[in-house]
Amino acid sequence: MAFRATAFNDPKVVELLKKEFICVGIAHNGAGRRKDAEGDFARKLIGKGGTLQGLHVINTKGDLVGYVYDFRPQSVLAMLNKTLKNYEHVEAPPIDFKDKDKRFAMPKDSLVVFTTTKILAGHDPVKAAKGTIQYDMENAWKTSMGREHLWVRKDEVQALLKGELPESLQKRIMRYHLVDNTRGTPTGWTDSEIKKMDLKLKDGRLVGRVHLETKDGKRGYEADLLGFIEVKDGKVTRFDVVAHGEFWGQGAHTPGAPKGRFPLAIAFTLGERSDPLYNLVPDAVRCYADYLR
Amino acid sequence: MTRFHVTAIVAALSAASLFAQEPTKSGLSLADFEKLHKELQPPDNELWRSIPWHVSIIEAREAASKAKKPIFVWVASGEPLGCG
Repeated sequence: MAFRATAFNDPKVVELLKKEFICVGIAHNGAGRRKDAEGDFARKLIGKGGTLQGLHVINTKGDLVGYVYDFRPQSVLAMLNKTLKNYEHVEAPPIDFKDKDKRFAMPKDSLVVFTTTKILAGHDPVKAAKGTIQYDMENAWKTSMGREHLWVRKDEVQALLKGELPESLQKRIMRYHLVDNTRGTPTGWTDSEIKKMDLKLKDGRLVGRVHLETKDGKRGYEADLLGFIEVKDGKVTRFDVVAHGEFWGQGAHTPGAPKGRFPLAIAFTLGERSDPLYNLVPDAVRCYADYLR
Repeated sequence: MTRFHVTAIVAALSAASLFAQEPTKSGLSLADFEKLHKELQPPDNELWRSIPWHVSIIEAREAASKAKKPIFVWVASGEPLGCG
């Protein structure tokens, strides 16, 4: 999220990217693990810059022609301009991408619900001086919203249309979406860490309470849920839900949580098909093989 | 019927009655829901979202081939466009 608040929050960087480049975002541990053409092509560049992460420029053959891993807009601009100055387009044959790695393919006729997560209080004030790149990064670390996509299977959509909330969907929401993903990829919950899952859908209104907690008690979330899942003419037309409660602890890849218990809210909203990020594979799919169970 | 059976039946009926009297509810009011749901919507004017991002590097490659443009690839641990 630091790049969004720094380099990608700079009008000059954004304008140049929009005008002169075709832009894509990938996870080295997502696309890089795919067993298909996407994975083969991604592996051509992953690690070529010297680290697994960063900002790369490649040609259509996959050759690395520019790289920087720096949040400062001027560094990113310098790399982009230098690359453009020397860039020569190369013709490369089309790549057959019909056979996609099924682990990363959105199930047919499924529904996408966007989720956002926010820590409402508890972080110490930003220590870095205002106007510095450090301030932007620390501020992003402490105030950014976590984002994720919830995939709802076709059979679960059919259940929602009948006014039912299937257990498989309840558990997916619990295990992979009631998490603190505000500082990166979160750690989900196991079945045994679901201490209480009391959700009811009646007349389009979802109410409930949940209690999630690790065996050692170091990480947990106790929350109330309220929302509206509405259907019309055989379609889910609304999926607005909020979870709000106290979270404590942090995941393996998300250090820096506020100390003790802190208020955490998560919102669910039906995804817009016109959104360019609608087809983004949920990060939880990359992390958990049983996501769609 | 023994005293044990009567006690067991009374206990079971009491438990069932308690369960029935405790409907699922939420500590959130409608006003809480509306406030939080609004607060958690991403701002419309996020600059990074104005970039026409692709979510597939193969699709980006196709577009770059047609436009004869270089491909800018943001690589992260976890989906850079989605998580965090």
